[in-house]
Amino acid sequence: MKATKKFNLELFEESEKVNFYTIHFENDEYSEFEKFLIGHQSIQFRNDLLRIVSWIDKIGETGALERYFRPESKMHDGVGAIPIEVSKLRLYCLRVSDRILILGNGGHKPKSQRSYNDDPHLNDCVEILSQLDKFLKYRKHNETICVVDQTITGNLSFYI
Amino acid sequence: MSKQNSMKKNPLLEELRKKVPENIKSEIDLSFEIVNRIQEILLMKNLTQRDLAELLGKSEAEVSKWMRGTHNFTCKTLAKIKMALGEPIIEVTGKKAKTEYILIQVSPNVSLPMNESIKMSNKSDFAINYNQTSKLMEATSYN
Repeated sequence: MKATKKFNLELFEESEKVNFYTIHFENDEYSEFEKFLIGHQSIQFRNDLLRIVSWIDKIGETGALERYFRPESKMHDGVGAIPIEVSKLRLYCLRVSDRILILGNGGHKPKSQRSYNDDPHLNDCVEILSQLDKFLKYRKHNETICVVDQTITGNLSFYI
Repeated sequence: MSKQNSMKKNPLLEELRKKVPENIKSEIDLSFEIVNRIQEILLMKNLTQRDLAELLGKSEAEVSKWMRGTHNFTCKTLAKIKMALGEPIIEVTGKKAKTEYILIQVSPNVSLPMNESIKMSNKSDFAINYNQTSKLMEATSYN
């Protein structure tokens, strides 16, 4: 049986139009997005990573509009990938609203792979965001969390 | 403390931000400007991305991919979009500034040199030009 892991949803950065959150597993030194940033600083991914950083800044200025994301996962959840066309580096995220974006983890998706499902790591990155989407919807419904403007408040600890 | 300064920032991301080359920033800026302009025209004309796809003979998925803000548009595609929407998307600017004429009112007791004409590209140029050419002249610009 797979052990249950606890994670917290934490505020990563604030910007003019968007607050960026990320997932932080209990006892892990780094959050999921920090792991992504640390893990892709080699020459091979450097420019792609910096392009993603620049894209995040732009989203912070304009808002996390739905049309800016490449939908991933199943239909009707907000899981998307940051759409850097020239790169096969994928960063997955969960768009809660135009003003709240949850940055997850990601990795290299080689051309030989048709979908994130083909890679266990990428699959995990998408699945956790997909699960989180369900948790958030449920907690919004039973009012244990509150989403107002750029902020999520309430019980932000989850078990997966 | 301003709102900008009090915003939470992550040190790791801040370090990476410093390393983003200007050409990448510029590329992302331009790319967003283009798709935001296309979106503006679509809204203005009450059209959807699907309508644009039909006008261009493309799939909706293709147009949706363009509108994510990171597509590397070719001149050919931009020209086709411009033709389809009937509105300019991007503008190429040259060094030659547009000439603007500003009407000035001169006090009757001040004499101007004959055939003097003042051409300025903008109002700040006007102030500089005016100060440099004739300190005696009193002028009022009319918008």
